[in-house]
Amino acid sequence: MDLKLFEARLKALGAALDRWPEDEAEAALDLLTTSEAAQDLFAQVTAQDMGVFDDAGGDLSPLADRIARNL
Amino acid sequence: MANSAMTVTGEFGLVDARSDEDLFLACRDGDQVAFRVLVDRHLRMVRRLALNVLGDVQEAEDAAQEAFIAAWRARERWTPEARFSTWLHRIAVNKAIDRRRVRKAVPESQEVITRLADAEVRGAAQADALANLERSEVAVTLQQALGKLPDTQRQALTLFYFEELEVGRIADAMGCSEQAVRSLLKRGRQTLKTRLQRQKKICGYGPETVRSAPEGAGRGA
Repeated sequence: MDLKLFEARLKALGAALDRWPEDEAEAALDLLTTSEAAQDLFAQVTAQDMGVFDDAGGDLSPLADRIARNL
Repeated sequence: MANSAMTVTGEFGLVDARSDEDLFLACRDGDQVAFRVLVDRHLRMVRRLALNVLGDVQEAEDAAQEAFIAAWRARERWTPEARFSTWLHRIAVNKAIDRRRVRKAVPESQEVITRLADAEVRGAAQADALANLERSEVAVTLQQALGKLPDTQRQALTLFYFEELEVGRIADAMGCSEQAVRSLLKRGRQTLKTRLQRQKKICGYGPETVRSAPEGAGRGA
């Protein structure tokens, strides 16, 4: 998978890779492993999704505390 | 320096007018409060990035934690040439991918252990049926022994021998030091060797042909 195809699939399927066909998700992960441009695009689409859809992550303060304790 | 147009008040109400980059530069001097502000600003996005890769909330939160800790550890090497958020997001994606690989490796332990047994018996090179039988029995024994290892030892061995990750990458994936990874590998190998030798005494087969990897074998562990 190249960056152009990755971008097209991101737009079509969204950034949650578990909703992608498995072979395409694996190809996307291979690209993400090697391409910072793909990582940046992935982050952009993720941010856009978060702006459009509510994040169901709930209260993340316990996680923030856990990070602080482990520095 | 690149300045980010960030929300000054973060998710948990921490207020700081400085840019992400200025905050992270402050972290170089050990300012954990500055880092906490960065966590405040970016945790939800980092968690979502990891969730998009992993599809599992608990694993995503562990990956997010690893990403922030990796960023903290790398603070002295960071140069403010790019946005902090871009750099952090790349770390998060890589941590999540590492975790996904670990997760994939664990259910395939049967194949993994067979490969380990193959590697361990290669020196004997006995091609006859008895050797094959012994090898398969060793594989089963090895699988059982690996399954009884502490999680951290099993994870380190799996990543090193079967995912073929470098020690540094394993350290990043597991959120510990390279020295700790080497220690886990050494203890894991020793435990496996001991259990296989015990099995040999009980069953009278195997591990003349099973040799532990010499210290320093592999890729630097």
